[in-house]
Amino acid sequence: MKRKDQISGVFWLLVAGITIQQSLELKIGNFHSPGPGYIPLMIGMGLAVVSVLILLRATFLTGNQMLSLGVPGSAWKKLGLVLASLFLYAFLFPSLGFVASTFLFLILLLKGVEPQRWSTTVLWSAGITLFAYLLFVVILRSELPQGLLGI
Amino acid sequence: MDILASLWQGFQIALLPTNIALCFMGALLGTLIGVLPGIGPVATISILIPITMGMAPVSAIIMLSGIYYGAMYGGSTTSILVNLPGEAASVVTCFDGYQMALQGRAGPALGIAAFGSFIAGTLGIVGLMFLALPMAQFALKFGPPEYFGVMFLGLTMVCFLSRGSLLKSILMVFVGLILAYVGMDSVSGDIRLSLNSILLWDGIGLMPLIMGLFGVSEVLLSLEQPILREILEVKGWKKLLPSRQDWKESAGPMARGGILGFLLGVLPGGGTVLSTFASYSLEKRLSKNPEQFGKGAIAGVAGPETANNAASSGSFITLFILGIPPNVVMATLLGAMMIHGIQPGPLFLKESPQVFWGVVASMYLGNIMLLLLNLPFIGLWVKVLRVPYRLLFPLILLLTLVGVYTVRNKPFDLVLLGVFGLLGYLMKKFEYEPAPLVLAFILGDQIEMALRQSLIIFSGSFKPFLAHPIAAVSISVGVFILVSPLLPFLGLGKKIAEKAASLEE
Repeated sequence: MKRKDQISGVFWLLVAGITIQQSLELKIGNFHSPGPGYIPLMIGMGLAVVSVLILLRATFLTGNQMLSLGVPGSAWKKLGLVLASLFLYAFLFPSLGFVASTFLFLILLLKGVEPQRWSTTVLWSAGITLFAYLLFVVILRSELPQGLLGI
Repeated sequence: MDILASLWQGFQIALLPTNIALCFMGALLGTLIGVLPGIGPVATISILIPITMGMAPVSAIIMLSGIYYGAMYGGSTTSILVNLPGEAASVVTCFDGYQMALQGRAGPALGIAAFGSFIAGTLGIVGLMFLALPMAQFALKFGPPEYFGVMFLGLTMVCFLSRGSLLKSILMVFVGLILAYVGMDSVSGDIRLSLNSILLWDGIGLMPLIMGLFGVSEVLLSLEQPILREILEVKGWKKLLPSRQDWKESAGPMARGGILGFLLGVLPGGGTVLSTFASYSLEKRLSKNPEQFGKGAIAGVAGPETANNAASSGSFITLFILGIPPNVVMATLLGAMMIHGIQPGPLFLKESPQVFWGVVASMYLGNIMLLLLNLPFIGLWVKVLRVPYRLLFPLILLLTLVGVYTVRNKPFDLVLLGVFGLLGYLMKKFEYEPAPLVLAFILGDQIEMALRQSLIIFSGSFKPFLAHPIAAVSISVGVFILVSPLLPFLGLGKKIAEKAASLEE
């Protein structure tokens, strides 16, 4: 139990707060006939209690320790890039279409996270995009957005 | 012999050429994806669910059973060959399996894992067959209070069996429940916990949650280190058949593991994981050469693998007959079935017997496929594992993305995927276990429904709960489990679970 727990304790307490606030916007009812907001409210309060307990335990029961997540410095950049790529994909996906978004996504990852040579990057990205296209669009006929180029 | 007649009918459906082909495809794809490091059975099944869309329900389930067995076996393969467990239940296989691989005995390790799984699966399905009817009768007596009791017990057990702080696992359950309640309330029709955003009106999808928490977060974790993946020079994988000596050493562990696993698997909570650790510990105790364990004792692979599969079969019972998924993998299968309009539960057997027996037959089929498939195809899996991770991970992420999108066709789900990926990653860093969250999420609606109905039926007081013995007992045991760490001599139970968990560190 370290500083980590204090941070996470506060985080979950905030989540609990939001939950409680949102639940109060609904009909609560009472114990005899619970409304839609009843159980979320109870759970929200439960979450608040448990997060406070964790916070207290971290603060009072163990000695101070440095916050250490065990993540080497360079890794944060990589993680950020991967997540950014994911979110970017989610945003561009509907407008650019499946094929284009996939290709860009792969290039971004292969060049950005563990940089490969351009030849490897382009070939591998193209290969996977093609494979994905065949599998999902042609064979499985999944409904995936078509982009500007109609693919 | 009603059962045999029904089973025969089930087989007639399962053995249609189309269905056999589907099962084979499912097992192939399941193993292929399951073998990828970082993608465990849950993620594998989730990715492949969209493939089953548009099929007749029985065919879809048949394919899913192939996928399921494939995914489980893929996980074992990765454990043995690369020392990367695909999920908690494969951790134990890593101990001795990987050692055997390093000694050039990957073949027999993989072979015994396959055979053990097959034997356990077969016996387990037999058990399922015979227990189905009696249990269904029993389950028909279940009303809302009983359901609530069993689900409550299941959640407390998952908390208890999870590594790390019980308090944090309880917190995870609360978070899971909250996430489940986002969206429309089935009773009143109100939109709840939506943060006034239309994006959340449909609630939070199961796929983005699971894929994010288990799949994406794994990729993020793997990327922390400069990517050195020991591409194992797998020697001796061509000779897959375990030797006579191997069989001799494995027979006992397999038998014991099978029974142990089956019993533990029926319990809601942590059946598969617990059974592997329990079997390993048991075999180490009973062995004439306990010092061999951890150095490549085949009993250390045979026992847990059999136990794992037996536990799965046991958990199928709880899934099919009670309709309650006892662990995350079963929950994912439940999600898949519901997408196809199949609702497991006590009425399942009664109202759709042909689907039920078709499913049982397909499980036999899937199990056989597993054996036939994996022994000859092992070369393929080895090749897959040879691809460097830095090239593999974009593929894994892409599969995750497409897999998530094709379930609800909502771009927002992709955003959720990223969010849960980050959350899963942070949770691992801050020492929170995802399993209780996911199980609570899946049970969330059912548990609320059961509780609300119970409260209404009983006009809000808790007394009538006591008139329902099953409910009362389940709830009492659950509460007892929760407070047990506070009682020093009973904290022993938690310590045992933690000791087991620490074996993996």
